[in-house]
Amino acid sequence: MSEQTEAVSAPVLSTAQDEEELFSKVQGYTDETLREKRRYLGPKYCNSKNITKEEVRDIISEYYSLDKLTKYLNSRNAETGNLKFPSVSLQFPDDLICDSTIVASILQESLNTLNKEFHDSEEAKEVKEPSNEEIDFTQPAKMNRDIESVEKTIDSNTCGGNCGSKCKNKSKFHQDVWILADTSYSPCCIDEVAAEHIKADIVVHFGDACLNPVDKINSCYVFGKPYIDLMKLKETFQNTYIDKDEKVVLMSSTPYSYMLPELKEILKEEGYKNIIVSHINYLKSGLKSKIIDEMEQTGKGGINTADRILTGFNENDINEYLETVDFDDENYIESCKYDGLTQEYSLFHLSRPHDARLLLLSTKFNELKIVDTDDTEIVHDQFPTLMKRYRNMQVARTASTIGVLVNTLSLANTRGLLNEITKSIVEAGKKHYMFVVGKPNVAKLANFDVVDAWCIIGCGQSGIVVDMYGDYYKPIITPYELELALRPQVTWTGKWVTDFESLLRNEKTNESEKSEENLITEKTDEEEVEDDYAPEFDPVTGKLKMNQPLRQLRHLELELESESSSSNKGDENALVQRFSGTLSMGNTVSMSAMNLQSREWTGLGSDFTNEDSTEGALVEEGRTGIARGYSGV
Amino acid sequence: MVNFTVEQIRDLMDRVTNVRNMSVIAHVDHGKSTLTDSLVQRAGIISAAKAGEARFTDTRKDEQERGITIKSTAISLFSEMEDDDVKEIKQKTEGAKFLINLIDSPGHVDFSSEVTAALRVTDGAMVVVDTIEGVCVQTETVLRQALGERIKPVLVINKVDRAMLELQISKEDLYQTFSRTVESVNVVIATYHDKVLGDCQVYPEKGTVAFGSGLHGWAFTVRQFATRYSKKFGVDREKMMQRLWGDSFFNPKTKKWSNKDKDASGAQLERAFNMFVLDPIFRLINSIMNFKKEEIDTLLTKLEINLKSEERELEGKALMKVVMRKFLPAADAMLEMIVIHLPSPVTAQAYRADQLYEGPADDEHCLAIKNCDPKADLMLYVSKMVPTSDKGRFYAFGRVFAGTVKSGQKVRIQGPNYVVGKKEDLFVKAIQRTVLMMGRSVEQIDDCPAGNIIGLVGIDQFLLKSGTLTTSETAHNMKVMKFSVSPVVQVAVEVKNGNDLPKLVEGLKRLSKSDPCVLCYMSPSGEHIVAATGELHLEICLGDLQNDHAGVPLKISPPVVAYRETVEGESRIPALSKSPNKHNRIYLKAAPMEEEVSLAIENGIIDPRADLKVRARLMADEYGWDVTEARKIWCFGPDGTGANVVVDETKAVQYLNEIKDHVNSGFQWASKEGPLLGEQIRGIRFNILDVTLHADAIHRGAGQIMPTMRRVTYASMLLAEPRIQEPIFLIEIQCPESAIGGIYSVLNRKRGQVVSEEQRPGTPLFTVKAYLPVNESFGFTGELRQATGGQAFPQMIFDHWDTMGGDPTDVSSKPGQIVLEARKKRGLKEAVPGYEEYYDKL
Repeated sequence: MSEQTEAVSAPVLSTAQDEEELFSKVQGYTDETLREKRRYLGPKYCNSKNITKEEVRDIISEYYSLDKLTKYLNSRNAETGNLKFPSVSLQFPDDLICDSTIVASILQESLNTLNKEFHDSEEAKEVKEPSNEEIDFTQPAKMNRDIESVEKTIDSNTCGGNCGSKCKNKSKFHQDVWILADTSYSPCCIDEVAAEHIKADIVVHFGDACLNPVDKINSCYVFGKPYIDLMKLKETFQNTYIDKDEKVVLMSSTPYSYMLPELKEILKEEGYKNIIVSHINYLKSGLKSKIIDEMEQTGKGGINTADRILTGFNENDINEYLETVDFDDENYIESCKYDGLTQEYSLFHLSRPHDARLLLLSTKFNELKIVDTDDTEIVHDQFPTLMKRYRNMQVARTASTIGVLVNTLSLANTRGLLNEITKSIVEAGKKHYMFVVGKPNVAKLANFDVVDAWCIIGCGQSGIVVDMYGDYYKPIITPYELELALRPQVTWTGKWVTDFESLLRNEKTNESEKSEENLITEKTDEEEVEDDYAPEFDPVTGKLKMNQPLRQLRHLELELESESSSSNKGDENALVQRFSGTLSMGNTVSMSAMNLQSREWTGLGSDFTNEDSTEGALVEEGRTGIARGYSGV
Repeated sequence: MVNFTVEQIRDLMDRVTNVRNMSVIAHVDHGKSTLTDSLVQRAGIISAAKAGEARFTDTRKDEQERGITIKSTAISLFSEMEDDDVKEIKQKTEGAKFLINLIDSPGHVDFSSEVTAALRVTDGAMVVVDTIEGVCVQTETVLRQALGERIKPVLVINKVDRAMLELQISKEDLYQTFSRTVESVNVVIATYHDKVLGDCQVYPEKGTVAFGSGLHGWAFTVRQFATRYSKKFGVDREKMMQRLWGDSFFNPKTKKWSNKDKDASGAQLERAFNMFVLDPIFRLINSIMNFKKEEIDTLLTKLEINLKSEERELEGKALMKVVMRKFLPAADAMLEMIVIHLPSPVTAQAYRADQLYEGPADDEHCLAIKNCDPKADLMLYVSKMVPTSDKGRFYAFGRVFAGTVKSGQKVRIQGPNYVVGKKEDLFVKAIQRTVLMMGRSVEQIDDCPAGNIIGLVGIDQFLLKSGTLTTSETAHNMKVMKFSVSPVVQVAVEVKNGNDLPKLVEGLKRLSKSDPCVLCYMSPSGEHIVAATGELHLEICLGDLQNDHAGVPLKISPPVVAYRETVEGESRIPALSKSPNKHNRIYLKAAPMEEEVSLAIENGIIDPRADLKVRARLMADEYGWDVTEARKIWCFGPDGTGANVVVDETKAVQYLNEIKDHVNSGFQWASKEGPLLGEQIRGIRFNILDVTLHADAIHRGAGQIMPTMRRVTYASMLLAEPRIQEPIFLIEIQCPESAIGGIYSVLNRKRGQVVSEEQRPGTPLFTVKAYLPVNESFGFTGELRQATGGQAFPQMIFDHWDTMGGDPTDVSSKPGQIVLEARKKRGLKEAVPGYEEYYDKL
């Protein structure tokens, strides 16, 4: 290989990421490259060539409603006058990170001003006890993304007001603003862990959000008010839906949803009669969070589906529909309550959602039209299909080992769900391993070739990996699909549930029924216990497959005993029991041990045994020096 | 009246030398089941009147309705021979009682896999050929398979009555027809002859050919007539047999034998066969059919045929049947051939053992098979599953090759992927019951020694289609059967009602079990696929699935074809892919593999599971591979057995062996779903030219290597003129000359290619052979019937994979269209990705 020798570069030791995923460097206020990126700011920003720094600041401040945000962040405890959120962290998704510095500096400045005002007024009130320390309000905003230096600052005892939570004054007169780096999991969720690193009191989340409730920390959502040409949007809509009686639901990602009522009005004027608007379900985010720019719901007859509240339905229709729903069906799921109703509607969605959400929406609505927010045109793209999910579910049915992949740390009921999942896997006689790999990618998951199917626990909006082109070595399923897969009978509901809450609730109701059933069925089970380790037919490959390694254990051990008793006779003197034959550790079967044993490569030296013993070669002197200095082959 | 008991049969099982395991094989409609009836009737299981019509071994309703055999059916028969006959047996025997385990197999090409499964458990085959149609495509196929399994054939030329009654053919013409048929059978035998088997050509003069009519229940061998005449002439029977076939003439005037057809005075002499064998038959039939009462009576007395009084009342065809059945009972002729000329298990296993056993030929199990030793460790091969009356459960049907199988015995059940010392595909389980298969019913027996065919109860859940049963921990598997057909026609099935889904999945499982060849799997896009060998097979399978196995209404897609992806050239440049962390690189080149090698892998001649050195030797000797390269084959794929290889051509790469497993997994992954349209890869040799690996083991783990191997496989294929292959049927059509024009026009329309067109000598029939893409075969039969006024009926059998001309990445070409459609259906990006997608720059 002659090509090989040309470029010699030092190896990168961290896991490389795709180029798109890397943050683009923030160049400044008016950089040309940013113009493309900041389309959402609208023509005010994009079309004026010689925009000043101040103007940009104004536009951005306006876009994110920073005034309201500042006020909220500066809120104080009514009694003590202490700041509610002395330490503020800002979380941006990758596509908005270019605004982060500006936002942070605006926030820091305005917060400083407010705090100074408060300090002054306090001082004025309490002249008797003047503060013996000058607070430096001119301290520049912290834009440090390096946790280490943060810790250093916290450690240093010199109190400049920025000495972290240890300083007494801080809780009253000073607020720090931090930008959180690289969100480790889904960007739509609150990054609890990163916020904890700097002991932040509140996370301000910018951009599109899933509004999943967070357990530990206060949060605040700013969606922004992205620009879109409504007239053009109207045209696109008209081109898509020729029939004015068409039943259409308008939906969008959270930032764009502010304009949906307006769009509806415009369309109404054009004569469209059956338009439903979706509103963000603000209640979902929980008590500990605040949404800036909360909008009021318009229209009556709201139904709650897919994290949105749809209004504009006829009350009678809803009631009529609800009568047809069979609430006692074992497959009934709360979050799919209105699916039958929404199935009659097609969906007009602004901005392309993440694949997982797209799949969810496709199960709820008749037809999906996705509008690209850049050119306001309908996207023609391959959408994920539910058929593939069915296949994945079938793979999971016959899987021996399930990898439970935790792709979130912040979701409120992760733990509860995790326990449920592992419990049901064990009950089904399968082996499970639990994994946290950071951001999942093909290589990371392929490292664990013992896993037959992955179950991913993550936020339904973007924390679930939907493998559209078969890039992943083993299929990835959701907890809901796993739950279906573990049922004794093949079930497929044609629904896709990413909502944990409803899943957990379902589990619980099933649980109580199950325990009753168990009492009855237990006896019959015992009779058939002998056939427990019969292999299952795998409809995916059309072969028989063992899928209950835990139930097999007894059978394997019996066999092993007989085997080892016969083979041990020869080497009674062996000090250590041969490990390589062991398939069970402790009291459980080890699938990885089995997997390792099935490998051809069994460690150093193993490759020389079956090599033919050709004549040895003469010893030659090899190359010396540092490897990177080698030249030629 | 059944004239034997289970105890008698069980007794005979121990005397293995007196057991004959045989299958009846033939082209469709040549009369296997009908002939089998004669044997079944002899055993008293059905009445003589019904024989020929009952088709006892066609147990299924649709078999009876359609008049074709779909599943092979086994039956055990008891027979007692004359001492005179027993003397002639050239192998060891004890006494004059014999046990015949007979398997009637289907003749339609679509069900060839049933034949394969039948052949595996038998040692001899009765090949049936229609006098008029002669040797047909399926005759050749099954003969080839039989010889491949080292099964000894005997021949029955059937439907002689048709030639005599319908065609009114003359004696000499009939002789010529017989002789031609025997000859063409022998040509096939010679082509696929296996040295080990010795001479297995069929000779009428040696008694390995019978002539007869299954429908009328009569048949004869030359030997039978020789026996009659040897007394009369006072000549040794052996000598007489020689004289009664071939160019041997008898001069009645001089009472001399001659091998010239003219006597000294130049007068025409009659062939001995015609004179002594055919003449009585012709005369008898003629007189009966022409109602010549007196002549009939004289003939009957002459031939010593005694009729009962009520039979004397009969006339015409009915009388002919009764008379002929008494004169030349079909069962006698066949039993004589089977018992005298087919090998006993002891004889057969001696030469079949090393071909049946995967392990070394000199290990104890192989020796036990060779000796057919009932006291050794059990070696039993399950060749198929037979549905029981208990829905969803099956009898495991197979043959004991060594040891004795007993009810309640604990055995190791080894699936096809079992490897000695590993746990995969291995179950230990007790056999609940052992049963004797008797057509529609079963008889329970306690045990069954080596050499016999048996049904087992209670192990069906552990085997899908076939497998090995043994009691020894060291025993290797018995070799997996290779089918001559391939499931290339597929449909997607779906339940009409979502709640029926569990039933569908269970139904698919039962379907896969009940048929040796059908494949039930799921496409990458999530559809349940049923793949079968042809339209008829598919129809039967889907019918079974819908009405029986699943029992729910189904939505069935129109049939589609399975394609394969291959390459036509070598990769332009070495394909290079880097691992996700960029530290490891694999350099790979794809090149087309010789078709013979691909076929040899697919037919199990080059066995991926065989010993490395043995395999390499074979590849070097037979296929011109370099021995060292052949030894460096890392893996076959897809599924570890497919017709693609990865060859390690690297030099001095450190840690290379460590990544072998990952490369293998990555390759299995890639070869299952190729880059063009997600179909299997076929016929490509991948050469690993170089590998760069990171020095730290953690950076060259499975996660880094597996996806890289997959990418580089794709890149190398896309760099090497990728092509798609489509399956091609060989079709055979027999028709009168007038229909040929119609056949040609349909074939032209359907991209068909005529291979040969011959007139069958002595008949007005033409045989047209042609290649037809499977894709075009749907509805072909109907169109052909229309174009020829119903005179042509094709037999279609999968023949080979044909590389389609034209670039599949070019949408305007035919393959391009196929690729585009498939990609759309599978939810892939519409355009075939360029190699750049998988190729990394240095």
